[in-house]
Amino acid sequence: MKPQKSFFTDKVLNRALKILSFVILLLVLFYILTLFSNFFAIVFGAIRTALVPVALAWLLSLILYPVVRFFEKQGIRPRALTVLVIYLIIFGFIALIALFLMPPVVAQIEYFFAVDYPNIMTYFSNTIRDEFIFGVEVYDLFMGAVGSSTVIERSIENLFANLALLLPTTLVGVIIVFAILPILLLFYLLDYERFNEILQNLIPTNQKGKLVNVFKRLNTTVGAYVRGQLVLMISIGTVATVVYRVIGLEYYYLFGILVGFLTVIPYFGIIISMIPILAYAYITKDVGPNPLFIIGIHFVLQFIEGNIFQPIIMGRQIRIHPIVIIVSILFFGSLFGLIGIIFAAPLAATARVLLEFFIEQRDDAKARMQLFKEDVEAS
Amino acid sequence: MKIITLWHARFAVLLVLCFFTTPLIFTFSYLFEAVVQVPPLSLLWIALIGTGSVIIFSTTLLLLYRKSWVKVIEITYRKEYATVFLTTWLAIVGIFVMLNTFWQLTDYFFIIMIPLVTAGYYGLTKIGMLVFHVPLFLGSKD
Repeated sequence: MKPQKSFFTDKVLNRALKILSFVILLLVLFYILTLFSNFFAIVFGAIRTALVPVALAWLLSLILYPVVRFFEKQGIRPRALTVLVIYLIIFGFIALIALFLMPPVVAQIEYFFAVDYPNIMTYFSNTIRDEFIFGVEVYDLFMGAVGSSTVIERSIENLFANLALLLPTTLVGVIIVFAILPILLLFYLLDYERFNEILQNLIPTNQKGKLVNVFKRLNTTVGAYVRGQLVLMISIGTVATVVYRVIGLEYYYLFGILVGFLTVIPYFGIIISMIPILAYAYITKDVGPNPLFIIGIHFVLQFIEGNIFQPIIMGRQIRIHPIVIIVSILFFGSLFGLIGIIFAAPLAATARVLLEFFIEQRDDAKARMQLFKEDVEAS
Repeated sequence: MKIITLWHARFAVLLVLCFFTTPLIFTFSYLFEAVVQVPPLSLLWIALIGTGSVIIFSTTLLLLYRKSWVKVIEITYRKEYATVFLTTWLAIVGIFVMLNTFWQLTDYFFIIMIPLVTAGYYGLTKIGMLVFHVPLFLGSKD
């Protein structure tokens, strides 16, 4: 009789012990890290402060570098002159927007806080009571419980206290980012090739070919993604603004800008942006457009964005699965806040390029090993 | 699927621009409130002049680069199709803006837009596949 082979062979036990020791070491490491959490928070905060403007400048350079190359091909040289022309165009464009678009947007914001904001508050305190789906009694009971509890008051107090603490640092951060950004971008564009050369020189010679290839792929992929996303935001925002205006929705500029801005979150941005617009349309349904129109418009926008714009503008190579997008939004959002949410998709695209590169390398190594084995067997 | 050169693809873009530049100008004029400030007929003239300029400029480019563009054949003309698509998409909204500017048809927004969007979508999908070789849907394999 053939002896039955035990599952717990020396090899299996050895591997299990290795994995167990690795897990214990990892847990110990996490425990030590939690003891120094404040120190790590400070270090991480400093890295984040430095990283955000650098990453933003890099992404913008990906959009603008092809424009620089285009101008140079047309004979506009030297590089300093090309960059100056591009800066003039950008600032001219910003000035035009500030001149034509900002006054109505500001007027709409002022009008909202002067007229509609008090009305919405009145709606929540009076009208919603009469229209409450479970009846007035349940509403009164609920509001009575809310009124007798101090949870909401305490939450609001805490929120304002946190905001007061956060606002100066956030504002300083935003000012620093937008003050440093044009300068960083200027140096990136002026010395784009030199920066690449310096980065390439840092790579060990035997790995240079592969890593240069991956950098090139990253530049192409992420650049295409960022450029495509910008076109997408502008076109969806424009269409939404015009359509809202046509159907008679108040604050069409604000809502159009909101839709355009949230398109930066692929697949979900348009649906997320629908929530406040739908709420506003519902509250003002007696004087404004039917809320169903808003749902219909957003459905069409979502369909066109997801099925047509994404494939055409983004291209097949940088298409990312919606689940990956959700995970990256959650992950990078918790790491970098709002900027993390905005850049979640390009970062996911970056991760995808790297993953594809490593898979290619692995397959390549396997194929070479197979060839080697065949050669040995043949000889 | 017909194989076309870069020159032919760009010529198709010019044809689309011929039809849709006027509504496109109306879309942007509506966005920047020019519709309120400029009389509709003057705006139509401005849009027609704009369309004429775009046609002249594009035709000149097509004639100048004909020799080099005729030699180029690409697998897909993604950039050209993106231009056609964005132009058509914004122009569909512009067509309604034009109708609304001249005949005040706000109440018929959905009645007019649903067939326009459907026809536009169908046409663009067909043109995308046949002329520019751009498959649209996420699930398509080619």
